[in-house]
Amino acid sequence: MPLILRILLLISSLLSFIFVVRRLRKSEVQLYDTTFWITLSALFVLLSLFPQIAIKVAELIGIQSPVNMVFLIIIFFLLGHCFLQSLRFSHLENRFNKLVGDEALKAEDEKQEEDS
Amino acid sequence: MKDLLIIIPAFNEEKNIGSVISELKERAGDASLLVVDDGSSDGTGEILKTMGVKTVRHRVNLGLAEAVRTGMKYALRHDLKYAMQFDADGQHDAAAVERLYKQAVKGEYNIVIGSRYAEKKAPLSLRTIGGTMISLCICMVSGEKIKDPTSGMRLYDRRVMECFAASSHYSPEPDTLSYLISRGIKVTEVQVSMNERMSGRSYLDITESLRYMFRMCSSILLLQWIRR
Repeated sequence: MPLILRILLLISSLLSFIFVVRRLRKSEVQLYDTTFWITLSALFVLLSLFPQIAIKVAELIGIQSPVNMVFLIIIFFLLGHCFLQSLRFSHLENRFNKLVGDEALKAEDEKQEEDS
Repeated sequence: MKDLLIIIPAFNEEKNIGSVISELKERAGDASLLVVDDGSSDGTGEILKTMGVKTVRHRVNLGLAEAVRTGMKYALRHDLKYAMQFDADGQHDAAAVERLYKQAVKGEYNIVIGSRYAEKKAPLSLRTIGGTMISLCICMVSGEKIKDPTSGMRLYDRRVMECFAASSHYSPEPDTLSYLISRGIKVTEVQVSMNERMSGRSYLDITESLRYMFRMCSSILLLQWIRR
């Protein structure tokens, strides 16, 4: 892996790590939501410090350039995470819709009881 | 028509809602009316209060599908057999309610659509072309010919209402219609006339219409096979 990429990877993963931790401290993001990002940045730190890991694994699966493998891993993680987010968003929206609808019906029920 | 609930989803319709309701009271016999105020921020709520019509209010705007679903849940809770979706913008003709209802109580059909083109031919315009495309998709998937799939005037029986209440996948849109047909729900159309909007602007402009058409067609053609 080229040295410049290793340095870039190291700096950006450290920065993103700091960013995530700061957001967590400010309670802008839930604790368990940060685990993904922290793990990911830790993985990048690891890869930039010990590029041999990337080289070995790339050799093992038959990818010529370790850089490509690093990209592949990043894309894979991001797509997975993106899908999970979409899933969670749908869940949330369904529950929200149900809540608002049920609350509206309940308010109407209570009004009827008051009237009668 | 004691076992019919007319659901009127309303979002910021202060200009039209009053006349729509008084017309329905006058011409829709003894059917119950329910306005689902979908988080209106204008004077809609005040008008509804003065008109003394049953209202269920969403605190935030959830959109047409959820407003209709809330109405159907209400109908199920109150043991009503049929529910009908009726636009709050004055497009629908109150006199058509009875005709749709009469068709429904015959018991052969689960959904009765108030159709603009059941007997009359559709004029050629961007909007009707969109409708025709959707019809074609429905026909390809379910084999049924629905001439006015985008009509917002539809009467549903209990079986359909229970589907709507149980799952958020069901919406008062052509893709759900198509899916229901392929699951054995019987649909028919009754010719009605519709007015232009009395006031305000329809939420469907050209790009919106295209996006809507694309979403419906892709949902009918692709998602029907995997949805539940």
